[in-house]
Amino acid sequence: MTNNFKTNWIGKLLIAATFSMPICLFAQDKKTSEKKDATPVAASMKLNFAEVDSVKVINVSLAAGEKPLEGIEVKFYVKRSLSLLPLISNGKGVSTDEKGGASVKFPKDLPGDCNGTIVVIAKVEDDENYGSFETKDSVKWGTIISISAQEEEWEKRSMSGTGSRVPTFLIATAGVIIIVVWGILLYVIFSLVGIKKAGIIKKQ
Amino acid sequence: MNQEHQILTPELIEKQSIRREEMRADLLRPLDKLGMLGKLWIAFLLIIFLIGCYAYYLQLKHGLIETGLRDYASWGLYISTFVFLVAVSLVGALISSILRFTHFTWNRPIMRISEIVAVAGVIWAGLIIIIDMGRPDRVLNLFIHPRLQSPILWDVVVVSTYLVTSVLLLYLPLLPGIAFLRDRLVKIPKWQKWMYKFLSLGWNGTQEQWTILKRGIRLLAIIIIPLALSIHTVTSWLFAMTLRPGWDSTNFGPYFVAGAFLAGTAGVILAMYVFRKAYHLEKYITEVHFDNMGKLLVLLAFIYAYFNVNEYFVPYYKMKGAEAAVLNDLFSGNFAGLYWSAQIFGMFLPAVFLMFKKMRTPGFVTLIAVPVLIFAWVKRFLIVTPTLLHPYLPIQNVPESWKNYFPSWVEISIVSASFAGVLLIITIFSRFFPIISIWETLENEGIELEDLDKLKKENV
Repeated sequence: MTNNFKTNWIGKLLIAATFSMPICLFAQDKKTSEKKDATPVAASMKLNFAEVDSVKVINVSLAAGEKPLEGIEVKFYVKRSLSLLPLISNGKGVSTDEKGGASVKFPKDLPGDCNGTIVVIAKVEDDENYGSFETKDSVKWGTIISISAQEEEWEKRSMSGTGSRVPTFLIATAGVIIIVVWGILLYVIFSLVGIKKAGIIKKQ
Repeated sequence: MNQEHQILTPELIEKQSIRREEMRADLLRPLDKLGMLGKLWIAFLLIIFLIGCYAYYLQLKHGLIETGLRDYASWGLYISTFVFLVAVSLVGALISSILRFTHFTWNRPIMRISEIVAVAGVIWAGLIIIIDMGRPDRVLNLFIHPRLQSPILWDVVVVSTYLVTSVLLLYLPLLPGIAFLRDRLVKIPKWQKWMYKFLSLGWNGTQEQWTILKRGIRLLAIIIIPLALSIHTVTSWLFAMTLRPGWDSTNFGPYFVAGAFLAGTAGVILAMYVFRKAYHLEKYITEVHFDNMGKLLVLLAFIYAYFNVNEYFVPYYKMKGAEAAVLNDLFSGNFAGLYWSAQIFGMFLPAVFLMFKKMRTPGFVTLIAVPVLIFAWVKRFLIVTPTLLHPYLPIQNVPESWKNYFPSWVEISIVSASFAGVLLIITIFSRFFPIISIWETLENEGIELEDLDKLKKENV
C-alpha cells in the first residue's frame, strides 16, 4: 500500500513537471513578448523660445510621429554647475495640451555665463507609454555675469571677503575691544613691577 | 575686605595673629610631604599622560587617519573636549568674580580652587584645539594670514586673553602666600626656594603693595566677567555661524554660557571634596560651602534647562527638513540613549535632588556633581557629532563607515591625556601653593592681613 502510494506520488510529480515546464517557458516567452509590445512608440520633443511683450516663454511640443501627445507631464530645468535647477518650484511639471504643447515662463534674473547663455532642458520622466526622454537647447536669456563686476564685488569689504577685505566696522569694533581689554591687562602686568619696586624701597 | 574695620587693641591683634598662624599652619601642612596616595595619584596621571603622548606621536606621524575623524564627522572627541574644557574654565569667573561683586563672602575659601580649575581647563582647551588641527605647524597661519571675519580667529584671541586674565587672577591673590612660603619654608630644594623668591616679587606686605594688589585684583575681577561670557559665546559661534542643522541657532551663546557655569560648578564641587578630604581642610571648606554650591547647582541647572527648552523644543515644533533628521537622531535614534541620559542625569535629577536641604551634604552634593560633569561632556559630544552626520547635502559615495563616527583608541588616549593634564596641573599647583587663599579667608573672619602687616612693620 505504502509502496503503491510512493510510486503513484512520484509518478504524479513527474507528470506535473513534464506539463508545467513547457507552460512556464511559454509564460516566460509570452511575458517577454508582452514587454516588447509595451515599448513606447518613439516620441519626439522640440524646444523653442519666444519673447512676447518682454515676457520670455519656453515652449515644448511633443509628438509621436505626426500625432501630438496630450496629457504628458514635462519638467523644465536650467543647467547649473553641479545640478539641474527646476524652473517650477518643487520640481513640478506642466501637462501638454491637445496640440502636444507645454510652456513655462522664464525668470528675469537667472544668471547665465559671460555671454548670458543658459542651457534649458525639458524632460519627460517615466511616462507609462513613452518612458523617459529629454531635449535641451541653449538661449541667451541669462543675466550676463561680467568679470569686471565680479572683480569689483570681490574687492569690496565684506564678512565673506578675504582677510585683507575686512569690513571697517569689524576692524573698529575688534580694535577697540582688544585695545581696552589688553590695555587693562598690560596695566595689571606693569603693576606687578610696581609691587616689586614697592618692596625694594621698603627694604632700604 | 568688605568688613568694617575694628579697633585693633593689643589683645585683638594677638588673637588675630594667633588665628593667622593657625590658618597658615593648617594650609601649609599639605605642602610638607607627599603621601603614598599622592604619589600613586601623580604616577597614575603621568602614565595616562604618557600614553596620550605616544598616541599623539602616532597622529603626528601618520596624520588624522589614525583617528575616527573623516570627511563628515570632521569634529569629534577633540572639539567636544575643547568645548567642555572651555566650559569648565568659566567657573573661575563665576566663583571669583561674579560672586565677589554680590558681596558674598562664603566663596572666598574656594576661590583659588575655582581659579586653578579655570587656568588648567583653558590651557588644555587651547592645546586640544591644536591637536585637532592634525598639523600643529599650521597654527602659525592664523597669525601670518589672519582673517578677522573668522570666528576661529576670534576664538583664538578670546581664549588666549582669558588664559592671561585667569593666570593673573590666580597669581595676584597668591602673592602674599608665596612670600610667606619664601620666608617660612626652609627645608626645601634650592630651585623651589628660587621659585618662591622669583614669584613673590619681593612682597613685604607694605601698604603700597597691598594697594596695588587689591586694585589689580579688582580690575581683573571686573574684566573677567565680559571675557568669560565672550569666550564661551565665541566658542558657540564656531558652531552657530556655520549653516548646519542643529547649529543654526541664535540661542547658542547663552545656551553655551549657562551650560558652562553648570559644568564648571560641578567641577569645583568635585575638586572641593577631594581637597577637603586629602588635605583635611574641613575647617575651611565646610558643609556650608557644599550647601551653597548645591543651591548654586540647582539654580544653574534650571537656567540651563530653560535654554535647553528653547534650543530643542522650538525646532522640534517646526521639524523642518534636515533639522528634523538631527532631532530624530537625538530623540529616538542612534544618540537617544546619550541624549536623554544627559538631560535626565546631567540636569533634571540633580536639580530635583539638590532642592532638598537634606541632600546638600558634602558627600551627596559631590555624588550628584559627578554625573553633572560627565554628562556635561556627553552634551558637548551631542552638540558636535550628530549635526556633522546630517549635512544639508546628503552623504553620498563614501564608505559606509564614514556615515558614522566612533573615536579611535588614539583619540581616546589623547583626550584622556588632556584630562590627566588638567588634573596634573591642579595637583602639582596644590603641591607647591596653598589651595586656599589665606588672606582672603582671614578677611572672611574679619581679620585684615593688610592691617596686621602694617602693625608688624610699625613695630619693626
